[in-house]
Amino acid sequence: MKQRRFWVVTLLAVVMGIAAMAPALAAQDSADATREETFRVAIGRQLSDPTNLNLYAGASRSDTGLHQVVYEYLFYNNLQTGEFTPWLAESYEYNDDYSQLTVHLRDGVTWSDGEAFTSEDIVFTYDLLRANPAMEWANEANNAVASVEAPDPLTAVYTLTAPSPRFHLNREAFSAVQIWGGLTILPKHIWEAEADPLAFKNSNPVGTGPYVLDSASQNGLVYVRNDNYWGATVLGHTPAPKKVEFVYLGDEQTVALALASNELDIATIGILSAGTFQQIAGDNPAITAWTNELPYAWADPCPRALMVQNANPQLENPLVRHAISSLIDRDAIVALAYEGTTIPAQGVWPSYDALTPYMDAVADLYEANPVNYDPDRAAALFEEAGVDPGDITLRYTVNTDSVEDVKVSQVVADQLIAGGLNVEVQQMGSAAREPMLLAGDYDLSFQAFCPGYLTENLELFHSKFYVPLGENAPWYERNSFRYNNEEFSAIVDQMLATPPDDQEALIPLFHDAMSIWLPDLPVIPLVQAPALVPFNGTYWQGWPTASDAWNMPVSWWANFNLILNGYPSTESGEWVGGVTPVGS
Amino acid sequence: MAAITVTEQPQDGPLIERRSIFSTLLGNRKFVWGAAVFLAIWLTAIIGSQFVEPAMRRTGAYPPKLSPSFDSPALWVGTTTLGQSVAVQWTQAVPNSMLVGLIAAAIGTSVGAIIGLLGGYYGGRVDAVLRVIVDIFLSIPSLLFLILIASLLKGVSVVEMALVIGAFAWAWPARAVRSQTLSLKERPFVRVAKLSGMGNLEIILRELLPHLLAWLGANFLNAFIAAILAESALSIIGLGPAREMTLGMMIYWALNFGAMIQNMWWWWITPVITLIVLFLSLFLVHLGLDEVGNPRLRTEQGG
Repeated sequence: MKQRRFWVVTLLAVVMGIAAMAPALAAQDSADATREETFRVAIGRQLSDPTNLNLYAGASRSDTGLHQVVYEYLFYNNLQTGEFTPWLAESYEYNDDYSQLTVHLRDGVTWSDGEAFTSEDIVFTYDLLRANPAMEWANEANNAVASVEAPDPLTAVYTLTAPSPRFHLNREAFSAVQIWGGLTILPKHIWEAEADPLAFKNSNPVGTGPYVLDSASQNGLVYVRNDNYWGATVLGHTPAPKKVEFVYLGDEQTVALALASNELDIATIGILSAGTFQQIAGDNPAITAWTNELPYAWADPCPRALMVQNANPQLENPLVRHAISSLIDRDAIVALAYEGTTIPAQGVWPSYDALTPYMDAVADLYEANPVNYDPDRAAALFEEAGVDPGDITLRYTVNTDSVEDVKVSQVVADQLIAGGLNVEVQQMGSAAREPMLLAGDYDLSFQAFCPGYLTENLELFHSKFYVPLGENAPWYERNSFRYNNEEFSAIVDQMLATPPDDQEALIPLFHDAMSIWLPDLPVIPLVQAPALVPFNGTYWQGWPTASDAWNMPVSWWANFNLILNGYPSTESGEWVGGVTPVGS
Repeated sequence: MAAITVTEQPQDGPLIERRSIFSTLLGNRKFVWGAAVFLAIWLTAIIGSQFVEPAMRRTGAYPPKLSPSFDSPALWVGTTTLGQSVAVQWTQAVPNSMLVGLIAAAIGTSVGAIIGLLGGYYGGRVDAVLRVIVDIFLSIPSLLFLILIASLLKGVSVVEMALVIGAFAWAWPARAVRSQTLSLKERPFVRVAKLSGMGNLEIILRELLPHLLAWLGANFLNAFIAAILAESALSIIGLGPAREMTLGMMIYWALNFGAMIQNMWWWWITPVITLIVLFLSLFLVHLGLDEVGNPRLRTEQGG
């Protein structure tokens, strides 16, 4: 009889297990703000250490609200409109030889605890990074900035280590939001009391932003509006939502159901596939995206490429890298893994109209070194290199925290195996993957190439970032693939010394650089970046779309602050955009 | 032939018994139906996999998101978002899941039997030590531990998965075998064996073990299906063998690609129904064995 009970209990367990698959979402409204007053963003991962909110101590944790609504930046770059919106600052100017940048700060800006924001805070932040080179961001900031001075509370003078007309576009050394984010200025009066800025948890962060932290858990961070926000008096405007939540709900299915039932306003990039989006948008007309038909996605400026470990003797021959590239059918990746939401890429630059003159200038190089699917060319290249693809075994390191990476890896691994290579897929979470990637301990790995500016993305391949295997590279796409070419680096240095608007000088330099880069093919370009960011317009309106493209639909970038709030136009001074309640 | 059988029967007692058990089993509808369904699933998968070429397993081998059609056997249960045939995946998944069940059940049952027999028979210090170990393993919530181990091993193969599950499948059988051994060893035939000079090991193997075989067989069936379900549970939460196909991994990928919300029912329903049918078929086999082994349970038809 006992045996029989076992079976009954097991059967029950199976039934209950299947029932439990239907995800349940508990409403999380607290007393202080109703659902109508809350802007809720679904994030794609759980937070491993939710009370550590120190942006400068390891593990990227900016994009769960901290760099969006708690911290603010001197300028915000709007790629959609081309505006460089001053925010904590009012203006900037270079000296004649581009060795110094002077920033004039906005008067009346305060930290959330009421202290005034001054140029002393900027000086303090750079001094802190110089004294603690182990802090995140320190490397790049120290490389670019020799010192910062504060001649008066509203003026900061940056002395650069080398003249650079592009310093204001350097998101890692300057506090202007470019793509994703920028260098965060810290409140001196809080941080100077900390003996060890790396050990400081900053669990109750003080920023200048319109929101302050309310609660933090593994499932996300909740922020409430700061009613003493400086913008209310200085700009005469505050964001509409009383509360902003960045919540982890679970897998695609759970997020889709929450969005379909109006429990969410935004699902961040990389959670929903096109098929799921079509399904819920078909059922619920309040759900929209950048466009109402394929590709639905806004083009993120960080193209996707397959990093190839150049230091691996099997892969150091450029012919082999080109051969592998020719085995990859990018159209199939777009059709299967992306369900048509993006287009193939032949380089690591976004397909923006502004870059067309540059791409046209290198068409001859692509003629000689095609980056597309061509198995016959692959076979010929393997033969030319004297390599039997069957002798090559590649470790393909896949980040299981990224649905996109997992999907693409299935298609790419199959294509490489079909081409005769041996591929070992190693799946791991992003925390386990980080040290392996930095140390160069991989053969293939999928990566977004940021910041997506022409010159800056070429700089990623600069030999100044080259370190031997085993030592830590500065970052994944910042040469963890160990490409080392002095001649190429010298051309990039020239480009970096050219003002960004001087196309006549830049285009020939780009051609020179590409005449080395393309035959070498240090990484294998795959596809342009798709950002499918579904929005549910039941409670809020004004989220940017292709037909109302006043901003970028980026809930994970620091620019989210200006999407929620809007901003004064640099030309007319009139208030632009912002998210407002549907009821109003 | 009949004459030979008749002359043999009186000479070989156990043979009659075995034969009659076998024919009783074949006469038991539950056993026959259960076994037939189980074998049918297994054989379909094995025979089907003979027709699968490597190229058919690849992503993009078929148009993506096709609903079931009779155009070709590979499309009978549709295709996935990545353009793979669900039927082709199924022919890989069923033998792999069964392999997990087989290995885990074999480990669990044999290790459990050895530990139970040793502890129960020798008693004393041996038993005390083994009992503590068994109790510790019994008090550990095994699914939690499986999740922990599987996530540490990230990127397991089917066999590693089976070993991990098997490592937690021996504690219950060990305890059950021990208690049965405790009672068996007090029975007269064990004393007779001891008095006639049999060694301890010999007694365990030749006198005790045969009495436990029926129970161990039943436990093997339980452990087999429990291991398949444990594999599915681990795979569904993303800790399964990522580059291989099992019934759990089929459900995992279906969920991962939003098959439920996109109404691609053929993708997730195929492995779910297979799991349910496997479970029911083994349940019937188990009921059948129970009735044959325990005459009081026999029904008119079954007996």
